[in-house]
Formats: sequence, C-alpha cells, structure tokens
Amino acid sequence: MFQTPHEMLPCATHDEFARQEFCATLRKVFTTELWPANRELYERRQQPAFVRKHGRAPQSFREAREAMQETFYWRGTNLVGRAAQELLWDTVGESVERQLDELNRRAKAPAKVGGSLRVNPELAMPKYIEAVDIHAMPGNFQTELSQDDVFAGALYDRGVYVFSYGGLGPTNEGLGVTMSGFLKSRFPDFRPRRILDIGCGPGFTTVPFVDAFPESEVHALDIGAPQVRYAHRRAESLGRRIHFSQQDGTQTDYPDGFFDLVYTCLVLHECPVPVIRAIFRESHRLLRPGGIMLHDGGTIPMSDAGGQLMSSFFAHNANEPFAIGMADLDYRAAFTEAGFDAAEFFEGRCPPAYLKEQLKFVSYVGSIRT
Amino acid sequence: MAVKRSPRKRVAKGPPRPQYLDSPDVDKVVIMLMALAAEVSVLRDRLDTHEGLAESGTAATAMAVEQFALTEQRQAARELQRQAMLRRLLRVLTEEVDELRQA
Repeated sequence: MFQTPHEMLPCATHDEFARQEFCATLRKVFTTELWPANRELYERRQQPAFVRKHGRAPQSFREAREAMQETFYWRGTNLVGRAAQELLWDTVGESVERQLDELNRRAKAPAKVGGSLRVNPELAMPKYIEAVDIHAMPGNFQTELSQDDVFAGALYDRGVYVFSYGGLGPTNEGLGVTMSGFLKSRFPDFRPRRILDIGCGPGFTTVPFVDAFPESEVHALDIGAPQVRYAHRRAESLGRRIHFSQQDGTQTDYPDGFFDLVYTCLVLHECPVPVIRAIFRESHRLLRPGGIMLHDGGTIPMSDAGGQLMSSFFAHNANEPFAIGMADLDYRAAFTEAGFDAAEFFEGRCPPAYLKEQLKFVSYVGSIRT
Repeated sequence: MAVKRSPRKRVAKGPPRPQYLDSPDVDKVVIMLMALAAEVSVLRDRLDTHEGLAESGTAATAMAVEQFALTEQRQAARELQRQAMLRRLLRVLTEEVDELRQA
C-alpha cells in the first residue's frame, strides 16, 4: 500500500523511497517478530530462572527486566528497536529537507475550501516541550528551521506512515476513524456544532472527525507552528474545511463554552501529569453544558510484571518519559478535580487501529459537561 | 529566492540514549550497522528496478529508474526479500529464541 499523495506530502526519489521501505520493514519485523518473542523467552526461561534464584516470581517491571537483562536477545532487540527509531527520522528527514523550499512555498497557497490558519510567533514554548524530542524525533513538533517552516509537520506525516508500515491507513486516518467511530456508537444522537482537536499535529487525527460530523465546524490546534502550517494546506488539498491555530492546549483563546466536543488523540501520554490536568481544566472551560470531552487513554496498564515488561518499549526507548507517569493517572479523579461531575465519567475499549500485534485494545476516557 | 534556513537537527534532545550492550560505543556500532543494512536494501531495490526495466526492454538510465512505476505486487515481493534479509542479518540475535523453540 502506498501513502495517498496530497499537496503537502513529501515525495521521494527512487532511493529515498527504498530507504523508507527498509525502515517500514524493520519496524514491522521488530513489532511482529523480534519484540513479541521476548514474552516467550521470559515465560519459558528467564522467569523460571528468577523463581529458582529468588524463590518467587518477579513482582515488578524492574524485576522482570532484571531477569531479562542477562539475555543478549532482550538487550539486542531493544537496541534494534531503538536503531529503527533513529534511522526512521534521519531517513525521512533527509528526504523532507531536500524538498523543503518547495513544501514551504506550497503551504502558503490560499485556502480553497474555507479553512483557516492562525500562527502565533509570540507563543511561549513550555519547558517540557523544549526539553524532550518526543519519539526521539529530532526537533520535536515545534522547532522552526526558518520563517514559514513546515519541516516537522512533513516529517511527522510521512514518518508516522512509515513507522506504522501503513497500518494506520493510506492517510494515517486509522486513529481518528476508530476514535470518532467509538464516539458515534456510544452517543448516536450527539450532534456537535463545534469540535476542537487539541494537539492535532499534521491533521490526520482531525480529518476523520470532519468526515464523521460533516455538519460541524471543526477547529484544531497544536503548539508547533510547522504542524499547523502543514496541516492547513494538507486539509485544504484533501477538501476538508478545518480551522487550524498554533496554541497551547492548556490555555487557548477560545471563549467559554465555545465547543460541543473537545478531544485529544495520541497527546496525553506525551505530557507531564500537571499539563494533562491543565488540559482537562481547559477542556471543561471550553465545553458548553452537554458537551463531551474525549481522550484516548493510551495503553491499558498491565497488572503483571511480564505484561509491564512487554509494554515498556516506547516509554524506555523512544523518548516518552511522560508515559510512565501517566500510566498511574486516575482519570475519574482528575476529571472531577477539573470540574466535571463524577457521575458523567465514561470509558470504553476498541480494537486498536495500530500496533495490532502488540495491543489487545485501546481505551477511551471522557466526560459529559454538566 | 533562497530563504535563510537552519539545517535540520539530527540528534534527539531529552533522555540520553539508553545503554544496551557492554558499552555505548558498541551500541553505536550496531546502530551504524542497521543504517548500512538500509543502504544494502536500497541497492537491492534499485537492482530490482533495473531488472524490471530490462523486462520491458527499457534502458536503465537514472531517469528511467526514477520514472519506474512500482506496482503493489512488486512492492510486496520486495517486502518479502527485505524481511528475509533481516532474518539473515539478525540470526545471531535470535539464537536464544530459536534454541528455545527447537527444544
């Protein structure tokens, strides 16, 4: 399967494409073969060895990892996974940089389906954003290489497709399709007039909500200017009207009660817990009574040491330092602290749109503003 | 008109790279090895493109290579070749699991 072209998608020379294909294959072999076999090694050899040595099974992730550390397989597969991550960004990054002048030029084309873009050069970057390049993506989401730069948006739109070896669909729409589908099945009569995607990146989590709610006015924000500049032209070329802005999701310039639906997709686990709580508070402010707040709850925390071992890869190897803190978050309590009524808390599970070989399901959490 | 532009960053900020093997230097050699495997894979795909062009009687010039239309079928065949290459490359890594499965 090939990624669906649009006006902003970087193209690739013969060899650039071949190199990206290698990255995708490496990611696939790592995800479907190399990594899962750690479970077998743990259960059949390393856990029994730990029991013989300590008289009991490992009780924590740390002990399970200790049991695995002596194997070359555990250390080697983690290293190959890390190598794959670094290679991905350098491979896609080189291709994007080659054509960046052209991409920056294209992003300035006038809107044709009625969407809009607001960029704020004065926006202060929070320290946690500047300190960590999430997913080990050099430059993270917000670094600007020039005025009017779209590098990080292009890098992420193409990079995510390669990372998931096409598993998120030809336009990376899988996450948003699953999430909006969950919302519609849970609340079939819900007709949001205005929708906000907080932390929209290149916009592939926003477009599916335009499709799911064609009567709605859809807004999307991201802290990174290169994301929303890219996302705006991407959406326009895909024929979806979206109003993009560069903002901090904890403190937006929208009026109280402006939205009927506020959601985040693939965002919370990249934020420190105080920021997550601030997003919940801001979501409460932005929603009118009867409006819905929805977040993807990330991976379900595993209760057993072996399960924690198997779900540890990204937090420990792919610059997701905040994912560890988020795993313990009590959503129900956090929503209540943010002003939501405890009785309106809801959660649900769906088969995953991505990493199907690793995740049994993805969770969604939310609340209805009273 | 060329806009003044900084080069892209190539190193990620944040937590230091974890240590995996006996020394961080050895880890770096393995990371270089995977990048080298990518280059071998690229050469292999380019050769496959040459063969595809030859099948249709087209000279394998640089332009012809760039214009070669990769079908889903050919892409799928290359994918299998890449996976096979990776399994060969990583044989010694998967030793412990292979032994376990043979037991």
